[in-house]
Amino acid sequence: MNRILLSISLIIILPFVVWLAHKGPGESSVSYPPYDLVVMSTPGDSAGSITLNWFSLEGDDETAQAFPEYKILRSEAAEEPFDEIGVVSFDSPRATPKTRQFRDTTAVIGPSYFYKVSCQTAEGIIESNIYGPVQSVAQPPGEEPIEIKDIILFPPTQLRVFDTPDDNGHSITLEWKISPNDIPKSLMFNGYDIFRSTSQDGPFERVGETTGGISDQERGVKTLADGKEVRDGTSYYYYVEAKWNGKTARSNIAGPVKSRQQWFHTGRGVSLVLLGILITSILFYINYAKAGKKLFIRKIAGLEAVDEAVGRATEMGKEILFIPGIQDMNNMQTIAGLTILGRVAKMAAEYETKLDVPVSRSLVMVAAREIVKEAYLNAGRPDFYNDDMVYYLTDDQFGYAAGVDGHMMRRKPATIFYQGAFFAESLILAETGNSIGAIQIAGTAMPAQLPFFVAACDYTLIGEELFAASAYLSKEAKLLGSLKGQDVGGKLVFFSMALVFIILATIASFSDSGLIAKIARIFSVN
Amino acid sequence: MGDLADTFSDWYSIISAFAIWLGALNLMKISIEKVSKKQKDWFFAIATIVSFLLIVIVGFFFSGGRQFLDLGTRFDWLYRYIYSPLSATMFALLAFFVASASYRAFRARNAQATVLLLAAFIVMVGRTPFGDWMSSMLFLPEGWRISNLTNVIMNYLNVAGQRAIMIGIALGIVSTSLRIILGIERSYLGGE
Amino acid sequence: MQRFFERLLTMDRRIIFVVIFLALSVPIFLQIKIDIQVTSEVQILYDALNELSRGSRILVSCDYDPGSEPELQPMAESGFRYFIENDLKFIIIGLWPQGPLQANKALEMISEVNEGFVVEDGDTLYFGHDLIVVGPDTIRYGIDFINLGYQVGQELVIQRMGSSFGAAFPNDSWYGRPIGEFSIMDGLNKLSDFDFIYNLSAGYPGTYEWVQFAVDRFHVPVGAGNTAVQAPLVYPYLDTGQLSGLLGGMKGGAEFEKLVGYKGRATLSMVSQTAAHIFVILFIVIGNIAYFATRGKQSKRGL
Repeated sequence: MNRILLSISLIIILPFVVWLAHKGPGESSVSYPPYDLVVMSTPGDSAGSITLNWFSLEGDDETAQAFPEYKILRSEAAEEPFDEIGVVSFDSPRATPKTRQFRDTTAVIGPSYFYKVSCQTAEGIIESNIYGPVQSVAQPPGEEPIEIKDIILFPPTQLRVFDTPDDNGHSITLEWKISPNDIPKSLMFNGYDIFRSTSQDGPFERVGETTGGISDQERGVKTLADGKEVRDGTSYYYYVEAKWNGKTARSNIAGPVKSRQQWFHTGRGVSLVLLGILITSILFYINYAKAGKKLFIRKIAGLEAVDEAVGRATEMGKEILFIPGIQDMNNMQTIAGLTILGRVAKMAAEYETKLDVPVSRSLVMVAAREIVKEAYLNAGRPDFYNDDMVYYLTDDQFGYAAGVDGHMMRRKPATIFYQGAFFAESLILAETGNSIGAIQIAGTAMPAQLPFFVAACDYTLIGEELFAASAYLSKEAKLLGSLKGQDVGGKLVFFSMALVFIILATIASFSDSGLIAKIARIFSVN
Repeated sequence: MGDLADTFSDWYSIISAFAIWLGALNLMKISIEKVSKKQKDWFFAIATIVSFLLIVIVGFFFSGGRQFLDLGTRFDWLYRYIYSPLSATMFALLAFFVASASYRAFRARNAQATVLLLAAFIVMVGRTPFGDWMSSMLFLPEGWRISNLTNVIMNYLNVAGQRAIMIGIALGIVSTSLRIILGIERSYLGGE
Repeated sequence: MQRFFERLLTMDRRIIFVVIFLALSVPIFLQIKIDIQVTSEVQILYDALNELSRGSRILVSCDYDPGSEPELQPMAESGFRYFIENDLKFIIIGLWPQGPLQANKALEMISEVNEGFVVEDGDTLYFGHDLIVVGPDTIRYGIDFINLGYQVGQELVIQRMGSSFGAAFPNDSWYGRPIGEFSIMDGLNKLSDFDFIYNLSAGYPGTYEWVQFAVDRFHVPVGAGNTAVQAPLVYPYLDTGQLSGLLGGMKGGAEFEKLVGYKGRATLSMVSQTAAHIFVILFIVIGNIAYFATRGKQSKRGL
């Protein structure tokens, strides 16, 4: 009853703990005020004029049949009333697929102007931001004026800079809204240059560049991390320059910003909670086992057969071949395999059966020699040990497979163990072993190779059974306790939570709420 | 902390590179002993020694070119015309072994084995153009073609199984790592 | 009849080997046209590459050896063709020693001019090596592509690149010069500066490690090509969006070739693969027929 209550309470409480630990999505830094109006003196116009550029409202695109006209409003001061000076109708040529333009040819050279754009839509009047002050400037004589339908390069806007989160410092992240000229696959747009200075007034130096396009589709921004000789604690200022057809246009200057180290990765709170649960469970059951409580472990056929396999080799007077995988000591499967090697070596020493261990990595050779030597010593047969029992072949995967196959065909061992990490050579080895009539016991945590071993070997340890082998063969309380803890704290808890969230997600999918995205985000690792 | 991680990464790379010599020298020692003592199958050891020395000497001293890995160098010739075909040959053995292992082991002994067999048939056929041809011959409706069934098996049933195995393996790795860190598991060091 | 089935059960495996050999080799000489349907995972990768702007820089990690060449080399060749035709710059590395060499072979294979040289800006540029010509496009080493070679350390190399690319690959592999001397490396200080990673993997280290480090830690999109054995293992990553597309085995390579518009070795090999699959299925069916035929007799005998 206590266990049931504990399980139920865990199922209810843990999802809340995980919910609290997860990091929510970042807020979008780039706002999209309707239009995002940008105004400048028209380049190349010796008579002087002012060009306005804004993003089309939703619904005003090339597939639309009609859309209300945009009214252009101008004033000589931001607080004074604005007068309508022109309109842009739906049929007017577009500057880019997403933007509209208007040229104010009535602006005289000298005074400053403020502009805004307004549109009467079905939802009501939508007005843009007010942009100004802007002055009309006469261009030097001799330059050709640019036609309205030609693209003028507009700058990237709304540049924001901040310390790159959840890192070890020396990095600053820039985010900006892309230039309207930054169209996918554009032949003329050449990306952005990044400029940096330690002072707002400069001098600025170019520290990097990037290609065009939105990098974060969800938030609609271009993002770049500047890590070039960034010193923690130093204030930096940035601006971004769009490049188009030999011209450049500069964004706002953003700063000051300092980079710094973070001690904890806040996006991995969920991982911390889950790992904590698992470790607590393992430690609890280790102590539980040390207190003398009996723990049940089901029979694992492959491990029960180890005795039989070694005995067979002894009876037939042939050798045992042990293959600890083709990965290095940094792989847990190799370590698990070497643990089994220790037990097999001890048995081989007791029965005086020849043991051969060809390896694929030098460090594994060294470790395996120690293990086998120790096993022979513990069995009281150090005289039977020989360093050449464990020998290196080659790091190359198929060279190793060829060498071991040759060994099998010539020496015809009676028993073959495959315990560790294997790749494509697994079937080559197992089939060759099968062809010579050896009894084969395999164990690997490589899911792709398991079917091959199951098909070709007599016994196969699947996945975590390989890691359980050490505990299973030694029957040591602490090791058995850790197995139990892994099952309870790991599988039981994780799958219970998974079940809860699956039910929630299924319900949410029928209710069409944003809950599914929120649930998915909880378990995402940032 | 990040700099420390980078330092350890560099150390690991250096140690890994040097560790290769440990194994290579041991291989040479065993092979030379075999040849000198005329042990069983000593001529295979000669092949090992000759191959090893050929690659090392040509690679270090006689390769030519700006770098020994350049196209057209002697090392590149050894790589293209000896090493690559040998490696590809060994990998090609898998095709034959898969057929013989399948013939021997894939039996519909019980219900589960039968289901597995059917799934294997669907995936094997669906992954080739033959599956599309068969679907059109059998006039299977859209969405029920063999390639669709293959996608269902791969994207749902296979993924479910893979995830379960991956989770189990990951838990096993965490548990084993914890045992090693805490010193509970010492057998890989040669101790009990 | 019973004897026949019993002999069938214990058939010499060499007969199977001969039949498979014929199934694989005979179709090569037959001019059989087959229609390849593109699957969603390949389409996802192609669409992801299509989203990239001109001039984007792609990190190509060739993590395979000659053993996996039949499956992965066509993906490398068609990938390089696509990058060249769409003005995408690519930087080649390898977490396997043979990977960068395989990339060299792929470039040589797709280059339409492999002999001769030109002198430009005082540099002698050899066709098929420094200059790769594909149709109307010619790309130049150091400007449009570069090969940085192999680095020991497996997944630690990826981690190292995450903080400092130059620390992981200080020099290029063809000339041995510092990477800062090549314009293609401008602004590429760390892994997150890349726009995309195109990984061709045959095992470890491979796609798993790229997803765990490059995607999860450094948020760089990764598209992968895997051998047919490994592909099912990475489907969970495709499902969660951690992988931006997957080319699975030779069929995946053939589908990608179809999308790219290039009839390469994967497409040509599909007939052989199809024939081999059919014969494996036939063998399984025969084996089961023999099994059931003899099982009945054995149960009657009380075995």
